[in-house]
Amino acid sequence: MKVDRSPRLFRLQAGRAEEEGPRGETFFHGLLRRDDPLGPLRLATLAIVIIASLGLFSIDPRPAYLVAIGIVAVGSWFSHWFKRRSWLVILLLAIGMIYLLIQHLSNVIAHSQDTRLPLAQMLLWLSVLNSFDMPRRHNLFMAQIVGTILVIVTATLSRDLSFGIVLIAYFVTLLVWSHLDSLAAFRSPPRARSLAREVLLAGGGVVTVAAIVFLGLPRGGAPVLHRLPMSGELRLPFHQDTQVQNPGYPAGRDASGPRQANPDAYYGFTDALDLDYRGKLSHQVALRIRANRPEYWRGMAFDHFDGRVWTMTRPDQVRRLESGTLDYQLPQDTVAVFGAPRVETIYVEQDQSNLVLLPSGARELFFPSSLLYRDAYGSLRSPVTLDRGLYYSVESQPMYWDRRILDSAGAPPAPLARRLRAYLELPADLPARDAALARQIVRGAQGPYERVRAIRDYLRRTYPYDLSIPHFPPKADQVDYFLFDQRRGYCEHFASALAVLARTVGVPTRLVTGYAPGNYDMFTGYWDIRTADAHAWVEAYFTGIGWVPFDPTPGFAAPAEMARSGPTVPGLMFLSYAQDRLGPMFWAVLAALAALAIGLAWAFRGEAVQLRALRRRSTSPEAFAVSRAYVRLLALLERSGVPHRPGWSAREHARAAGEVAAIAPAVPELEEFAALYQAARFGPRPTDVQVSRLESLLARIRRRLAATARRRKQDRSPPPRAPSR
Amino acid sequence: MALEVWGWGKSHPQATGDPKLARPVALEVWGWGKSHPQATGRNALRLQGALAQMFMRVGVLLLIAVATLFAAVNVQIGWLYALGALFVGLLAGSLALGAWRLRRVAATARAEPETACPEPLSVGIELHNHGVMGRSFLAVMAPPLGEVWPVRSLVRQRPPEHWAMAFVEHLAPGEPHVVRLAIPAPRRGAFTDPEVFLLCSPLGLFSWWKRVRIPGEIIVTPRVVPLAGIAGFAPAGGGGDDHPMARTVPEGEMLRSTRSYRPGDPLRMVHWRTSARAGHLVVKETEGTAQAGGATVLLDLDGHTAEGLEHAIHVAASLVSYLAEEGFRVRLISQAGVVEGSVQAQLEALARAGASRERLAPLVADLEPGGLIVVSARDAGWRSMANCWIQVAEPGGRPMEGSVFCPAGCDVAAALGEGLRS
Repeated sequence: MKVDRSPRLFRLQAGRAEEEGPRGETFFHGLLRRDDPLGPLRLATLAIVIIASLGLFSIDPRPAYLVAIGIVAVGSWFSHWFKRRSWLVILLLAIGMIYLLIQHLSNVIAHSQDTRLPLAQMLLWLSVLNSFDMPRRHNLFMAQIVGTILVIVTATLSRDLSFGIVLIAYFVTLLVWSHLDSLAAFRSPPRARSLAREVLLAGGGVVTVAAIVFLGLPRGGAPVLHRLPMSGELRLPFHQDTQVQNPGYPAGRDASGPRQANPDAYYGFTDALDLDYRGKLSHQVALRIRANRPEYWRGMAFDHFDGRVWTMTRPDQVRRLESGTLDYQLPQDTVAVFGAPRVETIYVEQDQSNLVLLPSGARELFFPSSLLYRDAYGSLRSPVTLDRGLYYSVESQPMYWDRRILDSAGAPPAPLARRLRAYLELPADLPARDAALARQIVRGAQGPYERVRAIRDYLRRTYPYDLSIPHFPPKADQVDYFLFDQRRGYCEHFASALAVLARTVGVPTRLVTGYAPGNYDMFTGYWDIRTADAHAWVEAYFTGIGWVPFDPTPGFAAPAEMARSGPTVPGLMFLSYAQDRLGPMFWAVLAALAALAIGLAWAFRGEAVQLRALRRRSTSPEAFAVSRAYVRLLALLERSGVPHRPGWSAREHARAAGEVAAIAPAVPELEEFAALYQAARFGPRPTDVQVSRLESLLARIRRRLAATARRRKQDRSPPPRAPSR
Repeated sequence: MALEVWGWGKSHPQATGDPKLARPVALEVWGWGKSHPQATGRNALRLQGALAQMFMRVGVLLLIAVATLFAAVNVQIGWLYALGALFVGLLAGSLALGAWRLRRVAATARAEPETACPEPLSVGIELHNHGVMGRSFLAVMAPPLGEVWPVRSLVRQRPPEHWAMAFVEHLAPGEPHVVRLAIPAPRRGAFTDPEVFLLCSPLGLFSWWKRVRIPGEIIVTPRVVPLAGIAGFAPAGGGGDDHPMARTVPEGEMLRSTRSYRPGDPLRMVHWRTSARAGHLVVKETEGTAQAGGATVLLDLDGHTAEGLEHAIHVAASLVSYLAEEGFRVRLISQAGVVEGSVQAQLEALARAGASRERLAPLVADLEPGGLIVVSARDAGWRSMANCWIQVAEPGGRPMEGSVFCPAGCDVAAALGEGLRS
């Protein structure tokens, strides 16, 4: 009989230990004390906040963020040391938060066009304040959440792959944090080895699920909420130049000698496009564009071609567009079927010309300048060049053209024909064989659209795209030389050939320069447009419809065709992305991964397959455990030199094992195992006790065999050499 | 899927005390097509009621994941896709990992059939991993006997402080692992198949648990306070106002041997010299202790309050223990019946006793000669401090004058003393 002597005298003062702060110890030593259950969790929380802050610093490098990281560390130490809530601290923090709120509101008002950075800054300073008030687990959870939101906001600001480092560091720390939080809930101290194992195991599972979700989520859907960010308003100079300005070609077109292209700027964004320019353009990212579909980005257009150079007949004919709200409504002068509205944001990563790049079907522009110029060819020019860091948004509707309507387009009425005369002019020295070729190509084609399409398809089919061609002879007509002599060329040659040949068969055309869609980066979600993606294509005029784009360069889809394409499958997009990134290594990596998967499956096929079959056949978990123990014993014996014979019983195997010297020490356990196995396997339903005994016997046999093997190995090893004198 | 709700104020079927005492509100959501463990007798795996985690950790993370993916689809930022996917992966990983870790893990629990309140019940839980791979981070926990898992505990972020808990870091396949739990037994009673929970909460998000029943009936005998003496019942030699007098072996008794002190042994039997040598208390055992007379403890279970009833049972248990220790032939009479013989049987009867409105008179009619102690759960009003009414009487029925010797602060002493003063 048990008697309670003093049940009420000793009562554990729960939580008292947590409230007493340690004195006189270093920060990290204090945080990792074994008797402080929240120490490691506190450290993980601090790590999350620091990683989030560094992520922000990597995007917007300001020294204040580094100071904030230092204060967060001090605040965490303070919370660890103080470990209780004080009204004075709470009052000071409340005052700090009110000040922070006021600052944030004023920042939001100042940067109303894009509030992401003010929000990130507010979250960072909120973390700083929060770090002084983290005495308990719940407070650490809240601090982790603030850090997580800061990472999310930072992710929206990031436009390149360097954020991946922050993301990986954050994810690993979050896994560690979650595991430590779980252990803290069960009041169990963490151990480094089990922590690493858990992070690896859970991390593997989480990454697998995340990869499936990441690759399975559709891209390119229509936005539900429209957000149209743009950078801070540009300061306009007093004297404004309405012409096209390109910092890569400050003097305009170089009129003397062979033309050599500036690799960092496109020669097509000048007042005159010379087809004799040669040289490869840089692969530096010039623009990053947030768009849900691939787009052609139109810069400017030329209408006059002299056989070598494209120019504008009305370069000075510009119209001022003014908007105090920085919001420009753009006229639609083309008749088409319009798709669902979409929003694109263009980030300038390298200094550009003053041309405002627009997608087809642009309706509304949000540009950080109160003044823009619109030229006679529908292009927009900014009063100043578009420098690195500038970004703007545009709302557009993709345009589709019905083929029957295009086919039915007839000859323009007289007033319009007069206006379109410039778009039908041909070089004075154009050889007659060009017009003859055009007529030959369009033979049998009905209507202007069919004719343009026939020429485009002919060019695509007949001539390869080649950036290594030499300069053409100075006196030669560039289009003629391209079509009949060089028979390969740049996109400008293809576009010029289409424009000229179409004009010879009576279709008004103009040459357009801009950027091709570039490459989609699955991780950043941006279209990376490099300087080398600068491109030229053609717009043809159809009466009653307007200007319709055509791209004759092989390997490029026309903007209209691109607009029709549906959302891409993310998994395939990822493969294409990986192939783009890895280049020739892609197939090698794919083959290595496949070999690894096959190897792993082969290595684990044996026992896993056998156990799975056993489990299916077993009538209960206990019966499965009995069979599994026997299978493992047989495998053990086989490794020790006793082959498995299917016809033998467990006792026969045990007897045969007894004759092998290496197994002799384990014979008593083997015999007991055999007897117990037969009783459990062939008797009534096996019990837990039998399973437990079998498993402990198996463990003992395994230990004995291992010990015997160790002894035999030692006996075989050469005796130690006698020390030489 | 079955939903089982124990309403407010209803008693748990395993609780044997007054229904008013019970605090059982348990919401159990049986998960996803699995059968009720009581129906099949197997440990069905099920999703924890998921209220707490859904509202806090899981809820917050789910909200963040949905918001992030919504923003990703809306603004087409790839990093947001990646972050949202990672959050979804974290939730799914926690859910799947917890289910996998408890899958193919079987547990059997065994315990001593009896303990004395408030001594914890020692339970051995044998865990078997029938899977192919090892399992990590399993918590084995049990509420105090008589307490069910209330809905409030789900809302908490950690298991209640007063629960017994052990943590298994790694459970290797094929090797049984035994965990020992000391389950608190704060109240007396008979508990059928009390429960132990096997819980897994990877990454601190979702929690999965299995219910393991300790087979059989566990008796928790009432709390016993050692008494130094009761006037009229104490063997000659004890005395003093507050200090029990140790004495040597009674005359006419032969010292048989010595043994270690056990709770409840009278201090007068301590062999101080041997204790000093041994470093722990040693008591004397005598041959043929003079047989004391009979003693009857009459327990009236007709209490007005649950506290009064519990107090009366506690007092009766202390009295029975004391009298048996002193060699009296003790009879315990209550509305539950007459129990004679071993003190263990009487304590078990007290463990099972519940409030009763039956009259005691028919049982009192055939009282045997000998000392009588009446313990009543009735509220005497002016004896509110004692909570129960105790009368010590001579065989003839006349109240006795005398003193009770107990350790200072003993509530039984206070109760008896008050009874005597009446």
